[in-house]
Amino acid sequence: MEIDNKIMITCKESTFLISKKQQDKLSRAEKMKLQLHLMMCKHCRKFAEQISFIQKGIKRLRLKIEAQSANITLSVEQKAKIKEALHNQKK
Amino acid sequence: METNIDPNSWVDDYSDNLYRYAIVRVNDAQMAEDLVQETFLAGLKNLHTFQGKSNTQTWLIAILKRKIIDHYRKKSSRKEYSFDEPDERFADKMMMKDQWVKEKAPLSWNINADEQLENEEFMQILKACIKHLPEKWASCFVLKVMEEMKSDEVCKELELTSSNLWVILHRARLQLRECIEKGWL
Repeated sequence: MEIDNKIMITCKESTFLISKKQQDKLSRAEKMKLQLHLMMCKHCRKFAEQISFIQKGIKRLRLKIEAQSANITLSVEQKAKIKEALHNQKK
Repeated sequence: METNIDPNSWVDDYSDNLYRYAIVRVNDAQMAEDLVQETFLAGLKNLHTFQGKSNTQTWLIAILKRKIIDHYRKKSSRKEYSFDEPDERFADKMMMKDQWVKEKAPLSWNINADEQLENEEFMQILKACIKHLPEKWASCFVLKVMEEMKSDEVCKELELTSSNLWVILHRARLQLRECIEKGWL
């Protein structure tokens, strides 16, 4: 979605910028337009808050999954299966 | 060159670490096990390229990482109706016309502190909602947001233009947000 020259942007454009901001720097013009829009639009303010909450949540989730997996191991049977596959290929 | 490595000792020494690395990233035990096996097989086959420049585990993890990206690439290339849906229609369905329509506007989540992130219920819903994303979107999302890969790398791997990637990530966020709101409030 291209954000063109106008100063007032729509909610659709604003949500796109909010999303983009999560992984990319906005240009100065984009920043300004977004700020102006957020000043006037409470829905998009909520949206922005929620999107950054979700982003944090995802990072947290990832750490949690890592912590939960810290002691997981393959069973003896699973390892035997892999060894067998390796032997078969080596032949 | 090492020609008589013992695959048994490879498995004993490295399989658990590889398995953990994979399961965190694919979130599927069977798939993780398969990827570990494929990694060892590929390692054995390409032993000649391993010249002891790095340690064995680093080398095997690099192969595994490649396999995981391939896994997401395969997932994301499956045909999915929603990716072909015109942008306009999607946006209208998800949220709004040019402005928010009343029944789609974000509700108050009451998120005033990070402690909400400790909320087990929220985490469960977030997890379930990520699972519900169309596979192509989920692949982009996992590689870019969870794996924190560079955008141009993600684009290259998933054969997307950068504007495609932004649109997909945006749609994924719209859908995630709505899904969480429905499940949580």
